[in-house]
Amino acid sequence: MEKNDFTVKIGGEAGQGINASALILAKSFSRGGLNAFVTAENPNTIKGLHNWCSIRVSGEELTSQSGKTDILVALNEQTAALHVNELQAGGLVIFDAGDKMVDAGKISAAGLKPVPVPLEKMAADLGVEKIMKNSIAMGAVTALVNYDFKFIEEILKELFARKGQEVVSNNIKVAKAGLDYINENYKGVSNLSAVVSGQPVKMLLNGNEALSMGALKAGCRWLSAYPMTPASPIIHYLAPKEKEYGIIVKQSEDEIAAINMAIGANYAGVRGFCCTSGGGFSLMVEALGMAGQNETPLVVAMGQRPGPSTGQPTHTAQGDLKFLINAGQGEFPRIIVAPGDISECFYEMFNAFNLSEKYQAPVLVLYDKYIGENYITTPVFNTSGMKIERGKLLNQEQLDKSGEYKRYAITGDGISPRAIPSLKGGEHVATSYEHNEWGFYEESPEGVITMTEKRFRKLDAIKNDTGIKWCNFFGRDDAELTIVSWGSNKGPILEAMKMLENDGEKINFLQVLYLWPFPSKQVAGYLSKAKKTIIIEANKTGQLKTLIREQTGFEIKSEYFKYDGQPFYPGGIYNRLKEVLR
Amino acid sequence: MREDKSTSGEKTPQEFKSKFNNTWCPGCGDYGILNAVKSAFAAAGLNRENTVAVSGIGCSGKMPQYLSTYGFEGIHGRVLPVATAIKLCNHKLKVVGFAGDGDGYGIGMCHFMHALRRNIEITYVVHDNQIYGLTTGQTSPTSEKGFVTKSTPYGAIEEPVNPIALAIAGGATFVARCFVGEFAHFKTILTEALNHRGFALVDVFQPCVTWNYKNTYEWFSKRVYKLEETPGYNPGDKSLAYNKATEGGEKLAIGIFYRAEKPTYGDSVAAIKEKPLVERDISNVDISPLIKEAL
Repeated sequence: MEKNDFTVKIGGEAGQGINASALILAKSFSRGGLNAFVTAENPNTIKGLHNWCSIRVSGEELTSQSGKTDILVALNEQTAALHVNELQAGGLVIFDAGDKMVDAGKISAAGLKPVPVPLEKMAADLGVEKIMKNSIAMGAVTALVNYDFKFIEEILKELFARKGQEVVSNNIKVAKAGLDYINENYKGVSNLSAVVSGQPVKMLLNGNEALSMGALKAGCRWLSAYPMTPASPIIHYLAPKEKEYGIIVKQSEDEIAAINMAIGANYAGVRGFCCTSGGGFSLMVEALGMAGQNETPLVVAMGQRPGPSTGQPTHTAQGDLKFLINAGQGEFPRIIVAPGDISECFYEMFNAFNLSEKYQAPVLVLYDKYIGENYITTPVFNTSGMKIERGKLLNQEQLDKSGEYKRYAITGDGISPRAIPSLKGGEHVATSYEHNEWGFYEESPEGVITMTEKRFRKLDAIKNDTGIKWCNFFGRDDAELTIVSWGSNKGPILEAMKMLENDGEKINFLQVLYLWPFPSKQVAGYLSKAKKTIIIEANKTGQLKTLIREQTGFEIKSEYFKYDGQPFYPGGIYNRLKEVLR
Repeated sequence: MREDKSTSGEKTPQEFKSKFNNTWCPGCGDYGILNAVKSAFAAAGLNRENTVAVSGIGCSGKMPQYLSTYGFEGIHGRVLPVATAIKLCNHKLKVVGFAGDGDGYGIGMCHFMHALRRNIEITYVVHDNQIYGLTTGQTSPTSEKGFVTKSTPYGAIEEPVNPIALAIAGGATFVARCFVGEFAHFKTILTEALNHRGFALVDVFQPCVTWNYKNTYEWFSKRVYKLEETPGYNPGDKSLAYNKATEGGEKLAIGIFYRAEKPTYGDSVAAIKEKPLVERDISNVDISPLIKEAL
């Protein structure tokens, strides 16, 4: 075990502030130039039942959780019972010394080190609410990994500054008490250490926040949404930014309203999007087709969770790819991009707005709970060179110079100049019916063919867009095994690759970033050079696997599918790849 | 928050006519609505470029095609979400929604109730003919109980929706009903609705000459009476308005049932206090404070 790579798991009752403490702790490491990966596991309950949060810390870049725990903070007995078996040999278990339910003898017998701390009693002695025992634990963890307490202090100061000096010092005092208790009573019990690195400090954020920031950078001024896990944090992130960024966040009566509103906003000339999960997206499907038909730009952030139907609301999956590709009656061009990490959430969300205006077509940003809700240290976004491109959006001057305005004018690339309300001379009807160049009903076979082909020329233009980064390719060219995957599997795959490389294995990895229109040429190019191939997906039927077969004729022989609601772990991937390599 | 009314001289109904040929059935009540709308647009001094007609699907959905303003002909039942966003994104625009009794009170009922409570500044004209016309004659939410249609051969079992009572209860600040057979009255009320600051419902009795054998021009003509001519009626009195909306009986009141002044949804939206959302510069948004926050 590397000293500077460890995982802390904090568990307790929902509503005990576990996630908040875990984030402060994680941020304290990231402030010291370390990397952190925070995973919250919230069963489908709001308050009272068990939940937990793990923080993996490392000096190296982290792209995944590890699945193993070094320090377990059991704020209730259930945590100890449920998670003790995840601990590495010699792992530490912090629990309330006053909790008679936790059996220290059992912990020792399992080869682990019990670290009882009188959490509730200390809180009482300090004159603070019982709930602040997680702050004491936070201080205790800092001491156990021999880390500089100043970062926690700094973060608490920033966090509570608005509430006044007393609240700040109270919070610091409580955390410090946990630190001191360990230093006085358990000196030397732990061989873990977090060493401050000289690396530049990274951001600590989740995919939902990165998507939101990408939208803001793209000049998005409208979000309409109906709350649905795992996409709701986008609403929570953007709603308080209304004044600062001039964005309207409208919680609508349902997802049907949400998407129709987002289309209305784009029609009016404002960049807007909606966010949802599979169930909400099901309700949006009819309007998605409308945006395809009336060629209104639209961005939808679609956070997957396991289905069918309500499925597993608080877990993760990749079961909606083919649904998105085929959603809507009839045929129309659309773009689907599946960011694989936090940075890609940001940059591709920004690109999504440009692409949707450039091609006047819906862009679906397909992510999942795993990347949406996990907080991961990420290099500061480089926003230089990010340019807003509004495509053929007309202004009054351009409209005045052109002749008779036709909203659906037949053009070589299929993209027609777009006028928005308030522009004189641009009056037209954006219609969901098949239409002619003016937007009036069209029923003649020739007219319908002409308009269908016009729309589909846009798909050709998208396919030939050299600005789109269709795929990412990692690793050596002379690999024995090529991994193919998409979305958030990227992180655990990259880590598994490192493990295999350490074993001397020759591996490479093709991440398909843009899944529609399908980059057949690029994918076929990589696959034609591959020796053995394996596909990794979080679904039952191999949606990308069959898509590749359909679009390229190439059949990937080996597979690793997961459909248990849980993310991939590097260890699991490592084992499966070893089997295939054998 | 008001739409730009900089007029360049008198407006005429003719300038709001589109160049496309009409496809409604001869004698359809929708022609009366179209004419009244063009006249009211002119009377209210609207500009073509600053007016957006939003519709769904149904015979009413064709309205934007026959108007020369901007138009959005969306999908069935979703007039109000589209109209709501257009208005909030550019509040200088006059946004007028057109729906039918099926579009507005059937599939789109949920959006109707929420638009009411928002008091979003939209004029909402509902073509109410008590039948599904475009789908060739099925029962509608406003069909009378017992009404025989293709889908209710033994007579409609449900009570009809009462859109006027719902609108009053739901928080609309302008609630009116008109009859296309009373053109001057309709045009006047529509003009007032267009000038209203808030959500304005104008439910219009509009006979379907092809599928509704019962609620004909003659049938309506015999029954309608004007609230303006009703002694003691005061549209500022909400309980009176509600009682009137639910009075029942053979006679049908037309006119303004209820009218009130209340802040609109847009009045409380911080993002559009200074200027319309669409006019904000997006070329270089500074997100460095957000990056700092994440460090």
